[in-house]
Parts: sequence; C-alpha cells; structure tokens
Amino acid sequence: MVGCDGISELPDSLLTHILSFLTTKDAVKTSLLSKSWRFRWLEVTSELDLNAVDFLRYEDDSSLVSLLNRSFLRKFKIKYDSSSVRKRKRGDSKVTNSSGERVVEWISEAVHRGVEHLDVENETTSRRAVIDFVPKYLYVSKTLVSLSLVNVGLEGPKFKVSLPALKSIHLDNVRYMGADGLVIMERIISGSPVLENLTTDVPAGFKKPQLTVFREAPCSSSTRNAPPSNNNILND
Amino acid sequence: MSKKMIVLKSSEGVSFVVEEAVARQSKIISFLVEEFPDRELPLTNMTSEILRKTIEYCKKHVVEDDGGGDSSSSSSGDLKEWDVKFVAEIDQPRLMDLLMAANYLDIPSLLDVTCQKVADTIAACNDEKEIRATFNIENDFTEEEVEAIRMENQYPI
Repeated sequence: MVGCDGISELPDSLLTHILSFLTTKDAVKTSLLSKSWRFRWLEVTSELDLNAVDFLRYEDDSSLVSLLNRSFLRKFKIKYDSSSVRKRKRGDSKVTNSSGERVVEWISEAVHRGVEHLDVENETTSRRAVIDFVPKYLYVSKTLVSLSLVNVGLEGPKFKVSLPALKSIHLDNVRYMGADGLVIMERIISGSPVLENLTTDVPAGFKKPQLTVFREAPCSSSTRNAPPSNNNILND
Repeated sequence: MSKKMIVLKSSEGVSFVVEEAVARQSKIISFLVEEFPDRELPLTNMTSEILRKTIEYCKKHVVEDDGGGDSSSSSSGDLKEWDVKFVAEIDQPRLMDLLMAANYLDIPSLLDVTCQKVADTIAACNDEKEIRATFNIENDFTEEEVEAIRMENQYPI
C-alpha cells in the first residue's frame, strides 16, 4: 500500500468496484486503456446505466442489442428525452419511431430479459410531449425488485397484477390511462405481496402535498400519511 | 464514564490514540479489538499520513449509540457534503492509498467515497488518452487494436 501511485496497482476487485460507479458509457471507455483493462468493464454490465441519446443516433438498435447480449442484465437505468426529434432522411417514406417508442421497446426487452431493477426517466421539459406508456407486461414481472418511473405513463392493467418480488416503487409525475390513477396504484400495491416502500406524488387530478405510502410486508393494511410540507418537492 | 481508547501504530511507528467507537468503524479493527484487548495494533502497511486521514474520516462518521455524550453525528446531507470535500482535498496518489486503506481496514463507506471520487475523475476525462494520462496507465495497444475494440464494442464512445 505504501507508495502506490497508479490505478493499475489496485487489485481487480477494487477496479471492478470503481467501474460500478460509472455509467455504462464511461465504463466501456475503459476497454481502450490497456490490455489489462480490455474486458474489465464486462464484469459490471449486469448494471446498465444508459443515456438514450447515445443510441437514438443510430437507425437501428444493433449497438444496444449487442450490449444487452453481453450483459447478464440485473439493472436497467435509462434516461431519455421524448421531445427530441430524430432527423429523417429525405425520401424515407417509412414512418420513423419517436425516441419514446424506441425506448419503450428497449424497456420491453429489459423486462423480457428478467431485469430486477428498472429505472426510467423521461427528462423532457416540454409540457406538450407525448406520454410514453411502459409495457404492460411489466405488471407480471416475476423478477422485478425495484421500479422507478419518472415522467412516463402507466396504463390500467387489464389482467391480474402479479409482482411477487417487487419491494420498492418510486413514481414521479406518472400519467395514468385506462383507469383512475389511484385505482391503478391500488392494483399494483395489491399485486405486490412483498412491497416495502412506495413513494409517489398524488396521481394527476389531485392537488395535495406529496403522498407517501408505507406498508410493511406482509401486513395487509396500508397507512398513508402526508409528510411535512418541505417534502413535497415532487409536486409542481 | 470515560471512553475506552485504543492505540493504532503506523508504518513509521507513530502511535495514534483513538476512541474505540471511532476505530470500530473498521471491521478489521473491530475484530482485532475483541481478540486482543488492551494491545497496541500495528498497521505496518499504512503511513502516518494515511492513517491520520482515515481516523479523521472515522471521527466524522462515528455514530454514538449510547445516546449521551458529545455525539458528533451530523445530518446525512451535511455528512455527504463533508465527504465530497474530504476527498476533493486529497491528491491522486494519496487518494489511491486511502482507497487501499479503506479496503484493507474494511471501512465500506470510506471505500465507496474514494471509489466514487476515482469514478468521477474517469468520467470527467474526454477520452481514453486523458484517462491514461491522469492515472499513469501505460498503453500497450497498437492503433489498430484500439480501432478494433472500438468496432467490437459498438458502443458510441
């Protein structure tokens, strides 16, 4: 330890730990450093932390698919901006998907691959932006442990919600469709037997301070309380 | 009630008298204190400078669970801010030493803070050349190999 001045002298386990603090994009960058760094980033690809902009530039999703194929996907975190418009080539008669539609496809793929932690954030500031609804079979994921949705939509489930592993939900500015927001939330809560933590703002239509619902599994009753007013940061 | 003190000795043989609660944030020291009570603990691979830094961190993070006394526990927001400042003031080689010390002594929170700082430094670099220069990493690739990896990764770097 005395006189250790280079990062390369750190043991592998520590280097991997450092990589786990990087976004996937920055972790991939380290493959170019030297031969010993070449494959190190692959050890942390179970946690993908992506900015959609990096992938939306491309016409097809091959780079993302290649990344997913090399990943034992546990965590999928993606940020995007639904109001960003992709350039269309002249003469291209095919209707191009919006960035949101493509991101929703990626989320589908992540859920399909048994993701445990899903974190989706639409960073758009445009109030007229189209709402992107997360795929409905999210409601029957056997693997999902934590779910965080910011500025996207949830559609009322037309089937029984079953989220046997879900422990934590964070919803911020989520838009609801097909049923009342509170009804949708109630169905998610009742379909999540091991849920420990839920933070959400009040579903659209209500103007109250942020509502926080805590329930201790496997207790059947839920208690709701509005925290002190300095806590309603999620409200606009 | 007087607090129990223990003595830690650096590689230069300098002794540091520390409250047991402070030192116990290290899982290794916690174990050693139980196995060898009332003994000086030699930390032969830690310099005085790094040991002093480590103790400074542990003092700030000590949580007194007896409820009384001059508890130094701060709010988590203040503590985070303090952590950021703490690692920002350390130069690169010493940061590596501190990271190794946190690993050796098994102080998970200090390990995370130092690893985060290294990660932030990597993230702040524009390309692999800058990362190499910052961290003193020798490039043993040819230009062709670098291009090949770029193609293979298919990640927009």
